Amino acid sequence: MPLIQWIESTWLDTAIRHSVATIRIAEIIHLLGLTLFGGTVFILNLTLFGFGPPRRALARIAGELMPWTVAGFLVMAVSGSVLFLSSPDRFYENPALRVKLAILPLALIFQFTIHRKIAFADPPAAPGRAALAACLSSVLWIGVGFAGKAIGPYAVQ
Amino acid sequence: MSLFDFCQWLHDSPAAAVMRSSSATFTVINSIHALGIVLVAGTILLVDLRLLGLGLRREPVKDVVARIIPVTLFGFAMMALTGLLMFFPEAVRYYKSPAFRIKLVLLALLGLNALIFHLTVYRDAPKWELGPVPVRARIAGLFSLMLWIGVIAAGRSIPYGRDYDLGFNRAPGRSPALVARCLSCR
Repeated sequence: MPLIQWIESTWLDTAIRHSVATIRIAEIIHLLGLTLFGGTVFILNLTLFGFGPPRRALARIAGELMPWTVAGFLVMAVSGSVLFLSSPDRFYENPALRVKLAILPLALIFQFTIHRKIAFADPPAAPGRAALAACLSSVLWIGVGFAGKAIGPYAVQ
Repeated sequence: MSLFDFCQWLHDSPAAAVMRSSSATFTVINSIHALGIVLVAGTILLVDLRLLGLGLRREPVKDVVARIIPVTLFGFAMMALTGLLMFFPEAVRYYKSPAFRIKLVLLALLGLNALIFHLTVYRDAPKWELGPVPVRARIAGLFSLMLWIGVIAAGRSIPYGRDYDLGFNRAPGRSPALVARCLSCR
């Protein structure tokens, strides 16, 4: 595919493909980003479900966690891009990555629109709604996670 | 029976054969283990950020810790279980892996750090939890953070190494790291 060939011809991609250390560090940073992003989203969802922090603190907690959530996501996006660049042609054909990149926009949009609205609602959103938002968010992101982990096994074929 | 013999015994056990029989099983268990990071390290991260004064600043420390720790422990149990399930079929390989050994040592240090924290400076938490965090609590938070980063880095490095000849040590070229990434490929 011409786009992939163009990518592979760039200085950046050549440098990444030839530096095993970069790829390994990118993998670790990707996981650390997951810790930050996933941890904050998880705590928020936990609160929406009614566990952990009390519901009345929802808007405040959501406000405090949001910057970390965004930072975590950016870390994952950048490190994920570096990982993709380590072998664009093979990753392009990877079915698990395609599934992941299909679910990802859905998860992202949901997380930063409807879910955000419900989390920041003042007075706090009704428990039923909150739980539904948390449930959808969890399912979507867990889907992204499982698809991501499946990339490895599919990549070796 | 030495530790190595024990690992060999685990490796040869029927339970291990079940785990080895399907690549899908391994990938699912591996995925649960990886996503468990969110439950354990993700939650501890927030406790550490609170101790370092970087996040959730307006919540009392004892509150944050008391609410989050049960989740962390549940997550840790899940990770230990999935970790064990992955360890069984490849016990000998893990035994030989320096990254795995480092990971276990770091986990032990994390437990020690948590224990010391809970038995000393945390006891006085009501006195300082709404003001500036005392130095010893900050140190506990910092150590915890650094140790967790170490555990994750060590865990991620397990598939790479001399005893894993999955082509990782070949000359760089067409993604040798990709080949090395898949622990389930045999």
